[in-house]
Amino acid sequence: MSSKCQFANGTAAVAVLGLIGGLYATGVDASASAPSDAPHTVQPKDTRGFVVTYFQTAHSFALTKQSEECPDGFTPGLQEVVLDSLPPGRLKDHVAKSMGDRISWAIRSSDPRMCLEPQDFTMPVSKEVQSTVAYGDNLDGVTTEDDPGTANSCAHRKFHGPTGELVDNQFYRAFGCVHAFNGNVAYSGNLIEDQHHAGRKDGEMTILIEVTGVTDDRNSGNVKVGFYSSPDATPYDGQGKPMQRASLSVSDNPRYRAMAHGRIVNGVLTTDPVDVHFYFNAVAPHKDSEEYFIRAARLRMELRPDGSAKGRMAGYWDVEKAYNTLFAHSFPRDLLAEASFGYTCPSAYAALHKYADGFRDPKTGECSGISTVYDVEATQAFVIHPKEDTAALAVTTTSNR
Amino acid sequence: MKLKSIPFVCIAGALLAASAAVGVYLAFLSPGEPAARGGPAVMRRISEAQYRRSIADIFGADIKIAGRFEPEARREGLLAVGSSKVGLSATGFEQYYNLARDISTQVVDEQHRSLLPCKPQALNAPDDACTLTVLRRFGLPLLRRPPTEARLAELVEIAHKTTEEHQDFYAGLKMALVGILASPDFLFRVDLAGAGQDRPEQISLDDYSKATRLSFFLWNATPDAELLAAAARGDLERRSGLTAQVDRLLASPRLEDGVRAFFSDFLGFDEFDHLEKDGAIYPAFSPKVAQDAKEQTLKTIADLLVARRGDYRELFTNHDTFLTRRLGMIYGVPVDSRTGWDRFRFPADDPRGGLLEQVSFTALHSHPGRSSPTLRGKAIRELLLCQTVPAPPNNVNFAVVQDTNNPNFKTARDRLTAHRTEPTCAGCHRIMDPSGLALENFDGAGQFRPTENGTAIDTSGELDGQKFADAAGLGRALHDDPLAAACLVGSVYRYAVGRLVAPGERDWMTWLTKSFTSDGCRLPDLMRRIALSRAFYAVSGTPRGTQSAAVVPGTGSEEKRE
Repeated sequence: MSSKCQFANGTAAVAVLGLIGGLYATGVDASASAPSDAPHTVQPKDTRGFVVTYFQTAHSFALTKQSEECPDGFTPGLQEVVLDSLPPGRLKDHVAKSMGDRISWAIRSSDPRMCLEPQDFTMPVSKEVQSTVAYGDNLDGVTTEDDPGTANSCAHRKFHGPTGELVDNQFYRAFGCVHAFNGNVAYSGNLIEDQHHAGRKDGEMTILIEVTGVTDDRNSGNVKVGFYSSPDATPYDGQGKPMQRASLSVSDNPRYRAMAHGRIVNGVLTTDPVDVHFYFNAVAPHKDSEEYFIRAARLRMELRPDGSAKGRMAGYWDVEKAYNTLFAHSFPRDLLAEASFGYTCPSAYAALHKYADGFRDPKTGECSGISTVYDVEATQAFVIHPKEDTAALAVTTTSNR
Repeated sequence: MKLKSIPFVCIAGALLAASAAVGVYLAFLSPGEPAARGGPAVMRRISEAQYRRSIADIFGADIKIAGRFEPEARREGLLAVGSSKVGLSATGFEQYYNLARDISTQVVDEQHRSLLPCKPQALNAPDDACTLTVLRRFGLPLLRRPPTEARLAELVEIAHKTTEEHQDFYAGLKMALVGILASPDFLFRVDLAGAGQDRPEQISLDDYSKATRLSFFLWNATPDAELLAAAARGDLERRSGLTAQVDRLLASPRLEDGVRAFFSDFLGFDEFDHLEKDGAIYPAFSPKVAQDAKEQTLKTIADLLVARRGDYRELFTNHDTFLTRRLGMIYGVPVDSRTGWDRFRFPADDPRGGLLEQVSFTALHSHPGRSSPTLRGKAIRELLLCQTVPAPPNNVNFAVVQDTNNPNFKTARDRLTAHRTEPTCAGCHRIMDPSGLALENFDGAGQFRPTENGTAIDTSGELDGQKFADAAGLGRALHDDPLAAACLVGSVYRYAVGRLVAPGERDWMTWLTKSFTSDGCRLPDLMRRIALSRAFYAVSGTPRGTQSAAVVPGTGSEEKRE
């Protein structure tokens, strides 16, 4: 039963076998067998996993002077709208109040249903961006600046990218002149996005990207790219930096999983278009209406030797989801936001529909997606799939291309 | 109640009073087992873990134990040996007294009262019979032997007077329980011994001391009711009775507790309580990672040595382990479980495999902001091979070693090579560094790194003549080193008896080591062989009637290190 062990250097253990062997371990296999349940092991060599650490609409405002971007000024916010509705005598009194008092007063003066049912209200529409340069991607393939639209897209004007190419970015056109989305503005600039970013750091929206089939980190002609939401929070170190090599689980809900074909060329990963849902659980227990739903999304991301990645994702942001995610959280936060950040819910809702340029309904001719580009940063992570998720997701393609 | 009124029996008095029950020496030896005359009787203060376990076993796991414990002392490599060298300071006793009061308060409160074996006839009047029943019920497991009648009478009287004073039966009962919990008989494990009936020339532990030594050795816990009953019947004096109890304890899941307690001591895991890392250098390392790292190693050990009955030396080459997600970030591997532990296997060619490459070793034996081949090599020598490395001279200049940014010395090997030009340093570093440098692929937090300051790390080295290329080779060298197995055997025995190996035990230790290796280095077999040996229960010295730890202190010289 007991096995005599020999020292490799030739020192033989003294044999007292047989004399003591019967004392114990009868019926026990003395050899150390391998664990019965299969242990997990290291990540496959052809897999690269990432957790997204930064995901915000790209800062196209940084490409242009503000005077060229918004020559007509910025979109009026709730407090400006309410103040403008006052007769001159009363206006003077309110202008003299502090900012906080004016905001409180504006909220009290407004209909609390305004953000929940924005279509029932009429407000001044957003002031659109006038500049010609923006980040983006040519989503509908039209190569003229005045895009007449296609069977799947609506007419709109294209921007020029930083290197001159024609790109679509109607989200920037619609909201680039809104205080809350323009980082050039000292007061509340980019505040909504910053709030969302802080929420993501708290685990309210964790996005995983997994690249499989990597034969070479610099050049792999045929890879699969999975996009997943995760219920786990990204770990951060004491200095506020995202930590590498965290294991993060893929959502159990197949809705939040998508996969696209892709390729790596000179260290840059690009994917074919794919529809992606990323859940966003910022305010209340998750509801499907509060999520990022980006159709025909395509990723272009540089894979760096240190395990990080940086790039952009372009696609059509579903306008209803975008409204819910950005503007219609729940009363009174929505009103507080619109009073503080320079927009009104009805104007934002109207702008999303007005500038929507993708996923055209052939019957109504209206588009339900607005071209948007997001800055993406990611760091190395391990993507953990649910145990029952044995069948790989089929690679899907969007119907818009 | 003031301290001076505690029913405190002085150590010597308790020992002498309780030593009426004297065991007899086992009249049998295992085949081939040399005779051993044992070592001195010892008196060991129970550790914090043992204290907590005792209270949980006897009164229930929901009894809260909040307080400070006297610090433990490591002697000759083990806290277990140090436990027989420590006393109890006045401040320390006050802490134990407060613990005893808090615990007793909970035991008699309305929530736990139903667990007591009787109810008083009146809540506001003494009930000596009920008090006595309770004290007999809990006194036996707490003191690990039946309290003497005189002691019981003293405690009943205290309870009686306190009840009358407070018009509250449970207030009186509480004070009687405090008397037990604050007594040295509970706080110390005292060896009581005497001449054997059939071998009057040999002193041996009495039955209850045997039971106590056995239970703490195998379970790290106070003897359970069945073991105490066996002691009361005299079963432990007979081969069959002792074997039945030893095998029962070995077959219990609680054996894992005993094995974990030994390795926590053997590997110096109490140092985790003081482990700190520079967060700016090792942001992934946190106190929770440190606790997980300790637990990872203990789970690995329990799995290999207890669950799978594996060869002890495979700990140095074994690639199976357990990980949490926190540890996964240190090791750089995926971990499935969101909150718990995953069984994990490193590939055969992975540099992370055995005990030496685990975070519990590489991070524990490093500096807060950098790795340390010297500390790691020292730990290999002292912890795993039971060798002694002299302390460095007081006037050593460590500047070269500490400067990890020196462009002329990019790796630890470069820095230590420069440092070793000091003749006073060279000797010791020669026995520590070659093995420690093999682990340089692991930084101060235990994270793998192929380079340091952009320079590839040379992990080659040698251990007592056996050369290797990397950490895996070092693991194999330790696996094959006879000293590693001998060190474990000596440490397990010293841990079991709470003292150094006595001169008269040298032949027996040699036999024990050879038996261990010839059996495949199975730890449970080693523990069983010790638990069934007469050496384990023998006490050195000349019989002079009843003996105890207090009256037979350390007869015979003790070896410096086995």
